[in-house]
Amino acid sequence: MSAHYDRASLRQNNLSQRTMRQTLRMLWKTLLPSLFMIVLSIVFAAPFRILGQGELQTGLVLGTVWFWSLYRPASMPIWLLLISGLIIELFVSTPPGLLLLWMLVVYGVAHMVRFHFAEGGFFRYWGLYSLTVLVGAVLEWCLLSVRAMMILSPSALFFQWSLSVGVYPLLHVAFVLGRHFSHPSDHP
Amino acid sequence: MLSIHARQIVEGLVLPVLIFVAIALVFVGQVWPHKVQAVRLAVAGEMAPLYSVLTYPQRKVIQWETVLEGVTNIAEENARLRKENRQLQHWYALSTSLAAENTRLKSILHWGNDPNLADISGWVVRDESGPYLHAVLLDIGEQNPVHMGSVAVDANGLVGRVSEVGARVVRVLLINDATSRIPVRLVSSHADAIMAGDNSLYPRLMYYNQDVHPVEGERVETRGQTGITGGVAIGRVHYLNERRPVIVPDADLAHLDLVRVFDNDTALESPPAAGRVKEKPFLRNTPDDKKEGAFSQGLKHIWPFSQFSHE
Repeated sequence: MSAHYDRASLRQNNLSQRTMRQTLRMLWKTLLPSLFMIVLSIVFAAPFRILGQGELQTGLVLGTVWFWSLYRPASMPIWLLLISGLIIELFVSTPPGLLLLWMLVVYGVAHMVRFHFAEGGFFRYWGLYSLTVLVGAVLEWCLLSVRAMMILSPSALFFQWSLSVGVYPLLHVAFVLGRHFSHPSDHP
Repeated sequence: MLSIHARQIVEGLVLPVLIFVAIALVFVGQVWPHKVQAVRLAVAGEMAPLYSVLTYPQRKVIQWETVLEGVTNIAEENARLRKENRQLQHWYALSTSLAAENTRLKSILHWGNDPNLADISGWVVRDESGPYLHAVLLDIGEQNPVHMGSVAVDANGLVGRVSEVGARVVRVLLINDATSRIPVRLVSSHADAIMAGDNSLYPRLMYYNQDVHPVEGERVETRGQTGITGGVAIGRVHYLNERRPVIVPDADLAHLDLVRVFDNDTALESPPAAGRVKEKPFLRNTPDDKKEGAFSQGLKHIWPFSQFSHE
């Protein structure tokens, strides 16, 4: 009787441990993209004096939101996006709230087109992403022009947009490879 | 417990509501930028040690590069230093005699004492420079707080003016930022002008007397007035084309690390003399929160409220 009881409690323990491990693994997979964005923002806020550092910071954050919202939305829940967006706002030099708004719009567009462009492939998604980023870049340019009380050079807008769009394929490859090596079961 | 249909409606509303909240945040940031900036400054102050650690390898590599360059060109470097040393000795002798002459002339004019310039120094902890914005954050630690508008210099010349003041960190708006406007004096022609940044490497010279055009290669320095220390070297005049005089800054704006801030909130008083017109006091155009309230002052920056603020 006692041996039977011990075996049952052992099985129960194993089950709860496995469940705990699975829960932690799920939590890690959910938190990873948001943590990546926050760490990226902190690192890119350091004074490395790299040309286009601030624009690269914005581009990488938006690219991360687009990829995970599109290909694995479970890892980019909206409440986590909001929290990480508010934290990231502390480390950027864009007008306050703009990057958060931009992230939410990118998230919304990605969710909207997930099923519509199911057969579109990478280039169609990339084209749509570049249009979404263009709208955000124009908005940023307008806000900063209002603040400076003058029309700023449109080349700045183009630089921001091209850097954000240009860095996305690299980010995409890095995320696909990262997922492939960290979770081989997801990629048979 | 919500039904599936109700839950779907609520889930569909979350994103629009959050987008609305973000738009409200953008509006708040446009109306009261200083409040949001104060939070960012406080965070930058807390993160300063981490940034120092992150940039340590880069600083070390630059240091080694400098040492290696020195070692490989040691003979050439020695010859250059000897030549520079001779020139410096000449300039030292000249400046000593000029300082003595200046003191003598001031005593004749009963000039009085020049105000003591207090300065503090800080490391750049964040570089906010980009195509839209040119600013750096300085970690001044526990030193005496500085005033808004104080001038900041590097080893060579003017870098910018303090635009935000936090507990440990101050933000310096660089002279090439599009919103930077600094009164300057052309040293040779003794004319006044305004130096305006335009997000390019070289700030423009504007509003100079049309009878006294800036001369190519002429030195430019700050013009002393309330809130700005005068006589701070900025750079030299250069014509990009016939009608576009710009200033080539002495300061290395792209590689700022240690920056000094001169905290001087007083103007140099010129000596009383017959026929001299006293300079009008600086018209303060910064919002006075105590008088009219931060709310109305914040709104005045935004169109169409800006139209009413002039009435």
